[in-house]
Amino acid sequence: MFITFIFASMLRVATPILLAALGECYVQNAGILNLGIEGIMLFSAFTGFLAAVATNSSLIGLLAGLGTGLLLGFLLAVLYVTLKSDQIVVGIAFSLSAIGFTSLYFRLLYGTTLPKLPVKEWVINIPELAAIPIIGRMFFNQPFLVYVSIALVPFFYYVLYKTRFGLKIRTLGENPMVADTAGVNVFLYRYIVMLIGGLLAGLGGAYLSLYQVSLFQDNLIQGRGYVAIAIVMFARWNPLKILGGALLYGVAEAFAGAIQALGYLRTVPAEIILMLPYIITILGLVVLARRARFPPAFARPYRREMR
Amino acid sequence: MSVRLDAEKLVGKSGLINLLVSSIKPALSTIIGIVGGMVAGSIVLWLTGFDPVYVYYTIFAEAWGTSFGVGKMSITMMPLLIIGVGLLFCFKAGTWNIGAQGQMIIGALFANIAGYAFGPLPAPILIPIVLLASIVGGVIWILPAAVMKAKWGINEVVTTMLFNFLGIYLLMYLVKSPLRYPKEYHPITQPIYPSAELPMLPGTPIHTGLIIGLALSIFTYVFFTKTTLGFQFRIIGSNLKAARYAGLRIPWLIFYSLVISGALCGLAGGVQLAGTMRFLDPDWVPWYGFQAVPLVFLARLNALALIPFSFFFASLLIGGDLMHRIVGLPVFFVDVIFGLMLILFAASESIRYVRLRKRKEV
Repeated sequence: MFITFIFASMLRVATPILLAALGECYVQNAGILNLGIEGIMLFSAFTGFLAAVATNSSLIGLLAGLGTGLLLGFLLAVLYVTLKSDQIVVGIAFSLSAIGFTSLYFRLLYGTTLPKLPVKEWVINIPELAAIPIIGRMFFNQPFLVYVSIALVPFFYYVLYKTRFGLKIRTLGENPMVADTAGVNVFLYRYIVMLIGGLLAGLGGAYLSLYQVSLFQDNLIQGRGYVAIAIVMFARWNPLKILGGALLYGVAEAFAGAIQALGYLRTVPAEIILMLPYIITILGLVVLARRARFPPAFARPYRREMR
Repeated sequence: MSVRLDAEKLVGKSGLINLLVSSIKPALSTIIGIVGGMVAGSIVLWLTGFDPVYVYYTIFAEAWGTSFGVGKMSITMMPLLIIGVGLLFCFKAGTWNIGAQGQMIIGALFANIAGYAFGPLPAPILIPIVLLASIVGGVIWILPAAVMKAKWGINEVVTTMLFNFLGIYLLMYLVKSPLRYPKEYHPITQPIYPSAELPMLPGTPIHTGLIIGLALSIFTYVFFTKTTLGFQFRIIGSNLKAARYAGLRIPWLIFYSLVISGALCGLAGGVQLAGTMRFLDPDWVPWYGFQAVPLVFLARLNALALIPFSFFFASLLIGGDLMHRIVGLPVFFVDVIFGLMLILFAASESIRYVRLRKRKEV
């Protein structure tokens, strides 16, 4: 029972982290530290929720979250790339205003009443196979985005390491000056990665409010954006290892969920269990990221005149 | 040379204007940040259907024009100011403590325990013990992140941020079970002894906690302008290469900057607890830790400038809280303005930098 529960929910809870981390992987490979990812996820969770309630369709909600992510990714790219603002300051400020904005409008729009979310659409369910003990529900009864996010991992790996596009992105993080001299449009490609990062973070945020926790509340993301950033760092900017990191986080969160849902709380307090995903993430950083070699141009805006 | 030029300018017709411009210029990003943030905030209000003039008027009228607002001023200023000083220590050194929230919680928790565990000692003994305990709490909560940064170069933004959540959950757990005060129906901790409480200055609406904040900001200003260690912090903050050539022990300086920062944020929690709260409830999540980030940047990392800016931010917070009851606009509006101010500040700062460089090259 306990094991079945963990297996059934670990992929589901790992998905928003995986999506956000895949986007952030490209962003960081291109030499940008986007701390605004937490804010993008929160905004998209909110707009996705609004759109889903308004149209009574969870798919339109996901699309709204995706669009919000793209828009905010562009906005942050203007700040990071064109205006060359300090990425840490802007990222934190953006996430702070995201908490303010979403909490403000959530209250203005709904007050204290909680609107009902529409039925989750496109949840794949093959009852015969899902009946397989332990792993059945893990593989054959999940929202479609779970499968999409896992399918994206090899694709992202292939593009990053085997194509010219991926090489260009990695060069931006290694040495933007060299990339510029070789004719790569540094600004254009940094905009592109920010759009990819924004899109995926937006999708992850909307998935979280619509498919995972099925509600919206103040500061819903609860640091998942920062967890995604940490996973990218300890996975050393490699999409395949990011999948491993996201699954590790997924197991931790599913474990916490299983203990709460199955009533083991008399033996272990809920609050200690809720700390587990964060502790796992921090331990991941300690064990795996301490020998990591960061992209040399990490978190540094590129200025042509600095050459 | 430049002195003579300035003198000539002063004599000339446009001298006064030039003087004015040159004195405003360094503060330009701050002005753009504050004015722009409030203008952007009023656009948000206008789009939402609120009258911006009325909202801003109510905020400041409530904060400055009512006895309740004035009475709350020093209480709201003190955590902002002390955390501001704490964040300034690491921002100056180029390190990032985003975990002030968690450090404040653990600091308050340690102060709370010290405030009742040692028995009803007289105030001159108990108050220092309580404040020291809060400093220890803050240090403990930043220590892992500081070691990871100094030793292995692991990004401290992420680690300190994640420790906020650990702090929030730890507080919930401790107050609900092991530290729960059995004499109360609701889960709260045992209140500190009256002799551990920080008093108001007699006959004034000023809290002694604010005096601690003021003293700290003056001390910090002197520390960064007059001492060697302060100078070393500034070097690693502005130019790591130069610091390496100068043979500074960079990892140790990084470590110290973070630990001092954590200590002060813990102290802010202790002052908050001994000053106003007296006990803890499990759902306490202080937002001062994040609100102080825009404050420190708008003050341009100047410890003395933190004083007027924390006054300004406290006014917005108090007024925003009271305005909520009158206008019906949730207090989160104030966080929106804080965030917008910092974004606009960062944007205008970098534009200015680019302009300056271009001029130098010509």
